[in-house]
Amino acid sequence: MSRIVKLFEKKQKNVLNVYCTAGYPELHSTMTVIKALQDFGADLIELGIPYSDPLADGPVIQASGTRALINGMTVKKLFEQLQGLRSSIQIPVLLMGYMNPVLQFGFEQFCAAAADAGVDGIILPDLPVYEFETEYGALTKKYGLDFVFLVTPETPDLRIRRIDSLSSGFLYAVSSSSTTGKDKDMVAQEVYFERLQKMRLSNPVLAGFGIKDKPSFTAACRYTSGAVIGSAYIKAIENSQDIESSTRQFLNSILN
Amino acid sequence: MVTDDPEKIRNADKVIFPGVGEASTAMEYLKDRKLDRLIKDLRQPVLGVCLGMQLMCTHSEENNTQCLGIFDLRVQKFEAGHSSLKIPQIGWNKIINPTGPMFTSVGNDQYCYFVHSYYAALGTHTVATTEYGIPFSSALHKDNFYGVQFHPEKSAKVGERILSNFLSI
Repeated sequence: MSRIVKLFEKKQKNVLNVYCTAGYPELHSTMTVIKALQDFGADLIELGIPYSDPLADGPVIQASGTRALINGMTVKKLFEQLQGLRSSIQIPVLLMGYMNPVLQFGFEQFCAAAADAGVDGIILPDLPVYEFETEYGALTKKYGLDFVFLVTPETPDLRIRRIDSLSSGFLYAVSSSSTTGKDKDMVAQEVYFERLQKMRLSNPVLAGFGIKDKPSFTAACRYTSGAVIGSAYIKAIENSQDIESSTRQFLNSILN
Repeated sequence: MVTDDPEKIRNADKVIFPGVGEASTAMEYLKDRKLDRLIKDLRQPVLGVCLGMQLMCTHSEENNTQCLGIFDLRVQKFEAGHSSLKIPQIGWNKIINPTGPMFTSVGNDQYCYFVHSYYAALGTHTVATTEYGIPFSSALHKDNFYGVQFHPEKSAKVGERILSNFLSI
């Protein structure tokens, strides 16, 4: 049983997934960020692979990716930084990125390196369902990686069921079909989250995109197993002199 | 409604002239269907998006293409030498000093989503600018013709606002 599946067996409500871009704010911040997120209460971590042409990111995550690329971050460096990950990190870690850098690295090589580093799952928003089913899904399975798909308020029920059957770990419920980091009226999203809840899907659902503070986190968790916070955390450590204390302060503001 | 039927376009309340593609091929397509003339003669509000906006200018450097000539501007390619910026520009960038009916209730320096290698220079019809190595026209307006270089449909709430502003012109 994967670390992600185990987590959701143990904890069905208020699961907090925090996103941060690898190599941000400084090239060597990656492990400091992961450790601080674990120590101060995150349940799982979504580590973003910086990419020059963001497709599903808002301006804040785009800027963090640009900064990480300027810092010299690459897929190869990321795997170097993650060596020894499991000597100090017990919580699940996912890699989130886009197909282009992954294909450049080699998809199978990428899965092998991720599994070797102790990564638990991957999220690739621009990997289409068909290609996953016919080509890439077998590889993520071969290396024992969970694969998380995204669904939106516009995704029809039938397709949600199909995506649910292909996903493992959890389903990422994008709270709007636009991009990350925008203010959204969480109350208006509740109808959609409630609809997902009533579908009794086989995977737990995490709500993402637009969650930035305690009220939006609480609202998102009402009908889901938990939520993902990205842009708000990126902002919190943007000019931080001390990532640990900024992370503690940020997570306290969400969890307490 | 998505259509290339001249009658339907002529009778529409509003026309959106979308982008994505290559200038000379798109102009050939328009000419084959005599839509080049038709678009210029439209009297209802017309919104060109991305390549749609570029085709409303006089000329595009993309395969040296004569365009519709609604906006008196030339479309040029971003020069690699200008800066260390990558081409195409893909992602979010600021809309500076937006003016006119498209931008009602849209503040200054809001972010919109761009995907392009070519740009329209600044001119008298420029109603918003964006900087990418150099300043360029991110929105144009002349009479009933409007154009945006960015993709409002990819630009979250700001984009939604711009589209709904266009629909209420």
